Amino acid sequence: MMNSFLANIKFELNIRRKSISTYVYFLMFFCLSLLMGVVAGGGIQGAIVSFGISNKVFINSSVAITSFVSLLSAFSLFITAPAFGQAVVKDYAYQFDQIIYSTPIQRRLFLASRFVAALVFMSLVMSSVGLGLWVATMMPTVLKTVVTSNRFVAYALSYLVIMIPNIFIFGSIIFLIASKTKKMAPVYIAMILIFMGWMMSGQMLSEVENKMIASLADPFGINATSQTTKYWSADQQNTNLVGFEGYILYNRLLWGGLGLVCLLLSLSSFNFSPRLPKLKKKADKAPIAELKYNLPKSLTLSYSSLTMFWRQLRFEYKQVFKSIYFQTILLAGICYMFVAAQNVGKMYGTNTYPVTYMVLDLMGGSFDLFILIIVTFFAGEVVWRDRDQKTQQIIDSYPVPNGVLIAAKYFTLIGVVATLLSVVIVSGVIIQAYNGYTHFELPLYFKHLYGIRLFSYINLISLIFFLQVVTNNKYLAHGLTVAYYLFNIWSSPMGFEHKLYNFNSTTYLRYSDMNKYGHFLTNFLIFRFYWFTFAALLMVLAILFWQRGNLTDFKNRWLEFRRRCTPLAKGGLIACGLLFVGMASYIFYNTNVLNSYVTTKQSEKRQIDYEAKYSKYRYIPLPESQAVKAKVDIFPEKAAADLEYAYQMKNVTSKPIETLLVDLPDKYSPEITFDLTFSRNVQIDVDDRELGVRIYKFTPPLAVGESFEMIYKGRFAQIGIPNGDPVKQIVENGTFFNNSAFAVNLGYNPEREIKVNKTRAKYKLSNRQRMPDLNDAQARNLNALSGSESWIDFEATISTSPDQIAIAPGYLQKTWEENGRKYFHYKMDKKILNFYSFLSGRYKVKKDQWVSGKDVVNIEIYYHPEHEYNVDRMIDATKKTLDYFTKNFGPYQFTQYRVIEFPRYAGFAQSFPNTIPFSEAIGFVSHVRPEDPKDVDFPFFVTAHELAHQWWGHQVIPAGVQGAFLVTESFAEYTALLVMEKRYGHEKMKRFLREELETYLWGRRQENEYESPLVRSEGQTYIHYQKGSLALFTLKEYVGEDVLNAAIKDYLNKVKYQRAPFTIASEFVDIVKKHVPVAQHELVSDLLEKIVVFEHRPVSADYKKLADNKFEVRFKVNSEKMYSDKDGKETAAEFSQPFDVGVLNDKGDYLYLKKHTFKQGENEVVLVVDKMPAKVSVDPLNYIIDKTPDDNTLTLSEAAKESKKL
Amino acid sequence: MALSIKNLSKTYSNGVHALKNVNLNIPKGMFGLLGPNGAGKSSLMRTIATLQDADTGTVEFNSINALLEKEKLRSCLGYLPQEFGVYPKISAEELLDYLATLKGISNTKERKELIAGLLDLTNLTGAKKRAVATYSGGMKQRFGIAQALIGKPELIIVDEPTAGLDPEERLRFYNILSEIGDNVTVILSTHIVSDVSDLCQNFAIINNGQVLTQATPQAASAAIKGKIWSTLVEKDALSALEKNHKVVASKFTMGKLLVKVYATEKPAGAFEVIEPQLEDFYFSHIKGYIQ
Repeated sequence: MMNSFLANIKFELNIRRKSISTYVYFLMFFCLSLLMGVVAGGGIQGAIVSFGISNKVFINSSVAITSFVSLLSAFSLFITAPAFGQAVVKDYAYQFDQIIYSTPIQRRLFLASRFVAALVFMSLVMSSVGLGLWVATMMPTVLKTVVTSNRFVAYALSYLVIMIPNIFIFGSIIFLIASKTKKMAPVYIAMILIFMGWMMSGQMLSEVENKMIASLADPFGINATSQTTKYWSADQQNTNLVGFEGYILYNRLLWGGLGLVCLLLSLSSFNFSPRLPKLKKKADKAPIAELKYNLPKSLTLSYSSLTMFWRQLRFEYKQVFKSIYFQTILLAGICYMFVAAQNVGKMYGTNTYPVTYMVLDLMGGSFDLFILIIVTFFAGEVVWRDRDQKTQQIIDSYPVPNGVLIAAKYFTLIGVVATLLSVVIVSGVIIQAYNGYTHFELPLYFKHLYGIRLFSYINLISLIFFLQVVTNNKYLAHGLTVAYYLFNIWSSPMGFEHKLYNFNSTTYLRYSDMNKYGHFLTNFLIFRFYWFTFAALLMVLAILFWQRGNLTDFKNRWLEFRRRCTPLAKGGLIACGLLFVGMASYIFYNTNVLNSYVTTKQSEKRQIDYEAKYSKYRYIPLPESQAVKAKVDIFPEKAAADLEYAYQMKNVTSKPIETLLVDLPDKYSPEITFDLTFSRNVQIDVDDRELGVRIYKFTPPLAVGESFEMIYKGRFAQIGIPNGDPVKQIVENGTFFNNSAFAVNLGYNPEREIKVNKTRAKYKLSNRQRMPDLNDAQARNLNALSGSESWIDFEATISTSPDQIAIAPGYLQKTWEENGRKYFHYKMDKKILNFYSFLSGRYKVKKDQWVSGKDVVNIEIYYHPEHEYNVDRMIDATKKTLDYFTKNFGPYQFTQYRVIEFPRYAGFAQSFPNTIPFSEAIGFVSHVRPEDPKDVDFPFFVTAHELAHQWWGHQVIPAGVQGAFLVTESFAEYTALLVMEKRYGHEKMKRFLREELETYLWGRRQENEYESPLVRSEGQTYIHYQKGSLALFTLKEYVGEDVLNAAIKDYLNKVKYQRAPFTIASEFVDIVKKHVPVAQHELVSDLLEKIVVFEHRPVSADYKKLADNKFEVRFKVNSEKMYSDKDGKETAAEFSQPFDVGVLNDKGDYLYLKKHTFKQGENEVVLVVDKMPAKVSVDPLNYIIDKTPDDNTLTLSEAAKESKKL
Repeated sequence: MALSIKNLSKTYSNGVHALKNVNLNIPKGMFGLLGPNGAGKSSLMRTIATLQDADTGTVEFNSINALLEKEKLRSCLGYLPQEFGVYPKISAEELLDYLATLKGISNTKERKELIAGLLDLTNLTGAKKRAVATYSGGMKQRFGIAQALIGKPELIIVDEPTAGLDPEERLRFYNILSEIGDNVTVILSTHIVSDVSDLCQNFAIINNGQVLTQATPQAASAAIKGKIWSTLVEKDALSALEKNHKVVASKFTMGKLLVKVYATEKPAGAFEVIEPQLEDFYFSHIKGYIQ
């Protein structure tokens, strides 16, 4: 019996061995793997790919191999499904079933042998993936810095843990489906659904709390791998082997178990009978004699194309909708849409209001995928329907013209998409209504879906239709369609960046409530139309190539094509062709003649040149602006602006200055014209239009203390259509740009260098230090915010359209109308940092005042009239922040605080002197529900954070060296948190802190170079925002809020309104150390100067009821403290430190929250609470940096009775 | 002549020479195209029905060039292919309505009347609401003829329509065909000789892509009158007979073999002349006894 089992496997494998497709699959995955490996290793210029690992991790470390193998195993599904499906179905498909199942074979064994054969076959084919990566690491172009020595065990483990189990899991599922249905179509549907399910689980990963679910929901183990290795340091990622552990183990168990169940089910319940023809109902036996010949005598044969078209359309449309596959995919899509709707615009766990554009974005990201699948699949069905159903010979002998038939099929697909888009509208409105949001913008839905989206689908449908017709092979056309999708995704990273040859690509378009589609719509539609002319050309060709009758061979198809080339058809071809060429020329003229087409590679080349030529000027002494008078004319309806900046410059250094380097708009920016003039004698020494650099020589040199005036006149107006993103700062409603946009910048700008070291290595550039060393004396002369510039007098006159309000830092002096334009004159009453912005829009304004004794601050919120939701929160946050800051740190330097909304082309808020541009995407539409424990009052927090920057950034100006952002961003984050804590209570901080902790842990894993301690952080956001707020909050918890505030205040008073040399973060650390007892110096040092991670792991926790109705809680915790070096190498350390211990009841309320001292190793805590406890937790608020914060909490169980122990 | 086929040749890309210089003149009425499987009947039918092109030659129907003016021919054509499928989950009535529209009957009222008439004619009225996919072989074939009769077809091509039908269904089918075959041209391809002898006024024999002969059933019988001889032999004597005689057919009767041979003169042995049947004419041509 075993013999026949093995013989069968051998037989099956022999068939595979002889089949060409086996080698094609192997080669395909080998090449894919090789290519991705080489690209990830930086081996191809201009191409960068990473498979979910950071740049610092070797591409052949176990973590990387496992991620890589799991990712590619997802794509192997497209072979797995047919391989396992055919293993069952082939007997039926080739109608061999009646023969096979009439032989005396052991049937279950027979089926099992088919399964094993498919498993072995797939494992062999997929061995190409590991092999490809292995070969990739040995390619000469791959950077030596990103590969380590290949370990066979790492590759073998990835196959054992991921690849082979994945093949088994999907093989079993597919096997079950195939054995139940005995058809291939359901197999393909299942394949698509599994693939889509996987893509969805990727999105869920963004939700912190769904980690376990996300790990389990991903059947390929990709999420599970990344979650398991998430908090590994870079060093661990490079050395550890990934095996069956953590989420991976659970994931494998769950899916492996499911696979096993499927396999057993298919073996046990398989109906081992041939598929016999169904018994027909009894045929009607009407007597023969009754022949009734009464056909109408006269018939009108009208051959109306329109009637035929309409009938055919209705017919095809109905056929699509009746299809079970269509219904399945549609249902899955709708379900997904509603699931995704749970997270409308989520930020820190807080949703936004489901404004229409958010809902549309959501659909764009989710339902579009389903529409794509439907279009791809059903284009094949519709084109091939008559041939598949064997009705082609009948239909094709009918007097219905090809054009009518094709048009009806084509419009069926368009109709199907239009219907699906209607589903989006209905779902969107339901989602909005469900969330209590009743501002239904139906015209926007219609415009966006039936206008913009449908237009795109029409072009796409034309392409797919054309491929189906011309290839005359349904599956080849499906393959080409998928190839097109892949090209579409990868073309840009591969260096194919021009929109002229990326089918259906178009220019930037984003809907904003404030600016609607803005002036971006026209260019967008021009590109869409360009591709539409191409689509039309394809459709004319499709009509000419359409197979009518039995024209299977190429010769006949070509003959028929020539025959169909009537003058009308030729005319159509020529017309579409001319239109296409015309549009292409027009676009080329716009992108390459009027504008400059610059590829990423070319711009990298320029970055290299800039660095090579001008980095020597980095620290040359420069004159400094003393005052700026700006004249800005904004033309919103033309999306243009005229600028005139008059800079009062002075040599404040101690030596005469000879040269002045300025960055000016380069020759690739034809949209900016400018003129730079000086009130003293200067000579242009270098005029580098290529790089946009000019070097002036002062003749004679600028004497110490000498002043002069420099006037920059610039004009911005978009010319034609650029291939890249258009300028989004000057728009019809909601203009926002800062002082460096469209203007000059003094001195060498290190921001223009190539920053990613992997890219630098490709160009043989040395590694780039992200920021100068903390103790670099020279670098201390430049500040982190405006370089050599610091304090200026500021005055601005802005004009705009009469229905808009224009805003700049300062106090409004005067406003008037002149020549049909509205003018605003703003003036600052004291020096400000050389950092300002200009805004203009149609705003509604809400005003309020903060009064404290003699001090009054005018609060003004400028907002889009529809976005009133959080205006009061922002005002409240402003007042509370002013209360806290003036009391604890020092006075606010202005008497005005303004928050101004701008369109969501960018998603941040930024603090300029007394002026805060605040994106409509982040806070104006937040839906804060204070009663929800999960909600963070996001608009409140951001407003407080930005106001905090008026101190930390506009009073304290750090030098542009390591640690600079500790005293700006970390301070702003922490102090805003303090205001939040006052407003919402200490215990509510958990939500926020936990989010910060997760983001920090994730960030340090994604670190591309090395992790720095706070005091030396180098612009790493996960350090200066997340670790910063955690570390300062922790410090506060240990030394006390008052002590830390006093230290901060001391520091502020020492450094505020400083000129060069600027302050550095270590000065703050020194001051803190002065304020806290020596015993806590180690703590301060751990938090700010070192990288420390803890690991608390409760091992047991129980409670027992005491005689006095109280409860004794007893639990044991294993604690570890580790110092991490910059590469994540950890060293354990002895410690003795108190940590919060919290006991919660079953409602999540705290019964107990006090500090207990823990030491290295096992600790036992015994405490008494008054009420029934449910959970116990170490550091329940999560401000301590713990490697796995998930395991800090244990559910209490009742202690075993003493008597039972005996 | 209603339909005239001249010098029609076709070679498929796999090298099969399906039609070799076919010449036929087909008058109004029922015309049988008789030939064994693989003779080229379906190729010829499909070519006439505008579904495939010939390499050389012409097909002309009532002065319509069928190979070039395809759409014109299609508007007077009714075609029932040898094998056809139907769309799932559609009733006969709805499918006919759809097909009738594609055949150019735009007037809803006329279409309704026509479909009712066709359903009556093909005796499907009782089953008109049923999905065609659930029909039995005979019903499906009748549905096939119903769709071929939509409009005013002047040329009706039915390809092996009776294959797989039981005798009763076949009779019913003949009934319909003979009813409509008077005023139009009906080409019926078949490998069953009785189909032709029962129904057709004219027929042609086709084999290996060539037309062997074209005749009326009466003329055919007359042509071989006195040339078909029969004898009763033991069954193992057949191979010996085949060596010396042009054996047309043989069949068992009561354990012995009744063998018919073609000969212009009485062959030696126990042969007696019999009244020839169309079948004998057919086999004599297929086997090459008559050139």
